[in-house]
Amino acid sequence: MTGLLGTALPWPREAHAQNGKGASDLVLPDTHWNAAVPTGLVPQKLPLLRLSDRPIVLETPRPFFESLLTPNAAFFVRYHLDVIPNAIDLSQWRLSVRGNVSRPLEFSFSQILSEFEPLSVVAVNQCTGNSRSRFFPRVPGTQWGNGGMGNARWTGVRLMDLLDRAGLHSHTVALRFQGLDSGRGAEGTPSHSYSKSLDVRDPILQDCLIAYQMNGEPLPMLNGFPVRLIVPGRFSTCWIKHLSWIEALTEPDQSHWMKNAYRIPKNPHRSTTPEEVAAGKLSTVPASDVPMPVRSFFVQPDVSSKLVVHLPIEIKGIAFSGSGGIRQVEVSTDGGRSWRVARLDSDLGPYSFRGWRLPWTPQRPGQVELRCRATDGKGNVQATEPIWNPGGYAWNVVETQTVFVGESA
Amino acid sequence: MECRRNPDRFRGGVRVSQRFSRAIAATVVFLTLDAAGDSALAGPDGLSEAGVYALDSSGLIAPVSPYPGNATSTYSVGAYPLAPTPLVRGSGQELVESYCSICHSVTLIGAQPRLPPEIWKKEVDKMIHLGAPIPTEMVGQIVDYLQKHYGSPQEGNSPSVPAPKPNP
Ligand code: HEC
Repeated sequence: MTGLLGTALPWPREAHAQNGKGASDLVLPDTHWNAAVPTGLVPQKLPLLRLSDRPIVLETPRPFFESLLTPNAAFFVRYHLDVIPNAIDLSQWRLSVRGNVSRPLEFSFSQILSEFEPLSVVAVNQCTGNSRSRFFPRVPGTQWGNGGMGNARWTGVRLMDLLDRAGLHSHTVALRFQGLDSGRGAEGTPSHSYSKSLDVRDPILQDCLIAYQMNGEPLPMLNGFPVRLIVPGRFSTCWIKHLSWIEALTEPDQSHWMKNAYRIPKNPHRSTTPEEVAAGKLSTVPASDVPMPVRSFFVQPDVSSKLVVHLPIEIKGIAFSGSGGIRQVEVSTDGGRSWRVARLDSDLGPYSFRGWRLPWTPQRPGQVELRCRATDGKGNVQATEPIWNPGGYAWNVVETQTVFVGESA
Repeated sequence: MECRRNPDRFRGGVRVSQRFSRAIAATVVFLTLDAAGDSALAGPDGLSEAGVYALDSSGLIAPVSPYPGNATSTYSVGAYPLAPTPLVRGSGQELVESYCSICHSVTLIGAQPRLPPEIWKKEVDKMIHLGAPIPTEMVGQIVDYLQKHYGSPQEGNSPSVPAPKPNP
C-alpha cells in the first residue's frame, strides 16, 4: 500500500488504457485484485483502493483477506449517492417502521439495544458488481477487482422482531428499506435517494438483522452507523446503511433501483450476450432476491514474489456462498488438469468466508497456473467459462493465480 | 481544483457554501440538508451534517475525525476528502465538468474502461434518467467529448478478441 500521501496521485491512466487506443506496455502486477489503483484515506479507515472520491467507493486491498474477519478499518465502502452522513445525533435519530402496519413505530437507538434479543451472524457483504473489471466486453460501473467484499460478525436484533411489534398487515407485498444517505439530484429522481425492497414472502427476512455492531465495535460511519440491514447470503445492494425507514408496501416497488438497476439474468449462471440484450430477449430478476453464487479466492501466494523450487508453501484462500456454505474447495497446480481437495478451516457459519489451505511444493522452476474451485452446500460449483451480463454483476468464475517458481542451487 | 473552478456546480435546491479552513488550502464544500421534508420517507432523522467534503488538492491533509472531547449524543467524522481526477483537455470539457460533477465527481468518468461510443451515449442517457439536468442541445457535445477522449473503437472491445486482462 502506498501510504497516506497516495491521495494526491492522479488515476494512473496507463493502468486502464490497456484495451483501448494508446495501449500501454505497463505490466500490471495483479489485475484481479486492482493493485494499480491509488489509495485514499477517509475517516475511520486505513488507506484503501479509491475507486471514487465522491460518492465514496473504496476497495479492500488483497492482503486484508488473510484475516477471516475483515477488519472494520479495511472494510470496503460503496455509496451510490454523495450526501453521506458526517454527523448523526442519536437523541434525534429514530428507526421508523411505517406503511401498511397496524402500529407505525419509531425506535430510538437505546430501545433497539434494550428491548430486543441481541444476536450475531458472521456474514459476507459483497457488492453485486464485485470483480466487474473482469467482464468482457467491458461494462460501465465501478471497476472492482476482487475486493468489493468483506466478512464481519454482525450483531443486532431481528428485523422480524421489530416488524412483529408494528404488526404487518396481511396484504403487504414488499418491505422497503432506506437509509440517511441521499443525493443531489432533484427530489423524485433516482439520484435523490436510494432504497431497496425485499419481497414480504422472501424466507431471508427471517434471518435479517438490524445490526449495531460490526466485529464487536460500533459500525464505522461509512459502513452504516448507527444501524445497518444485514441480509445474510445476499449481495450488499440490499444491506441498507444508516437504516432509518422501513416501509410496508401494498404494491411492488417500481423505483429505478429495483426496476432498472441491479437486475441479473434469470438463468443459473447469470450470463447472457450483448446480442441477446440488444434483441430485448433477456429476462431478469432483482439481484437482491437471489443468494450470492459460490466463489473462492487465492490469498496466498499472491504474485508479490517468486516461489523457490522445492521450498514447501501453503496455498491459502477463502470461499463463500449464499447457498448453504462451503462443502468443498479444490485446487489445481497444473492449470486445471488435475485437482486436489483443500483442507477447510473452522466453520464460522454458512454465510461466512470459509478459510481453506493446501500444502504444495513446487517441483520445477517456471510459470505455474494455480486454480481454485469451490462447491457450496447445495452442490453448486463455480463457473469455469467467463460469464457476461450488461450490469457486470454476480461474477463467480474460477480464479486463476499465476505464480513464478525460481531456481536454486 | 474541481470545486474552486466550479463553485456553483451543486444545483438542485441544495444549499452550498464554501469556506477555506486550515492552514493548507483545503476547501470545505459543505452542504446541509433540511432534516425534515427532504427524504422520500420524511421524519425526524437525526442527521446533523451530511455531504461534507474537503478538497484534498495537496494530498498532505490526512482526513481527521473531530476529537470527540465531549459526551453528547452526536457522533461525527471529519470531512470526506475530495480528490477528483482531472478530465482530459479538449472541446466540451467545461460542459462535462459542470454537468457531470453535480451528483458525483468526474473521477467516475476516467475510472471507466475505454467504452465503445454507443455505450457512452447510453451512459449519458442513463444520467439524464437518473436526474441529470442536461439541456437537450448540450447532450451532443457532451457525448462527443466522452466518445473522443474516453471511448474505444468498437473493434477493440468485441467478444471475438481475447480478453484484455490476462491472468497475472
Ligand atoms: C443527477 C445526478 C447525476 C448527474 C448530473 C450525473 N450523474 Fe453520473 N451517476 C449518477 C449516479 C446516481 C450514479 C451511480 C449509478 C449506479 O451506481 O448505478 C452515476 C454513475 C456514473 C458513472 C459510473 C458508471 C455507472 O453507470 O454507474 C459514470 C461514468 C457517470 N455517472 C458519468 C456521468 C457523466 C458523463 C455525467 C454528465 C453527462 C453524469 N454522470 C452526470 C448520477 C448523476
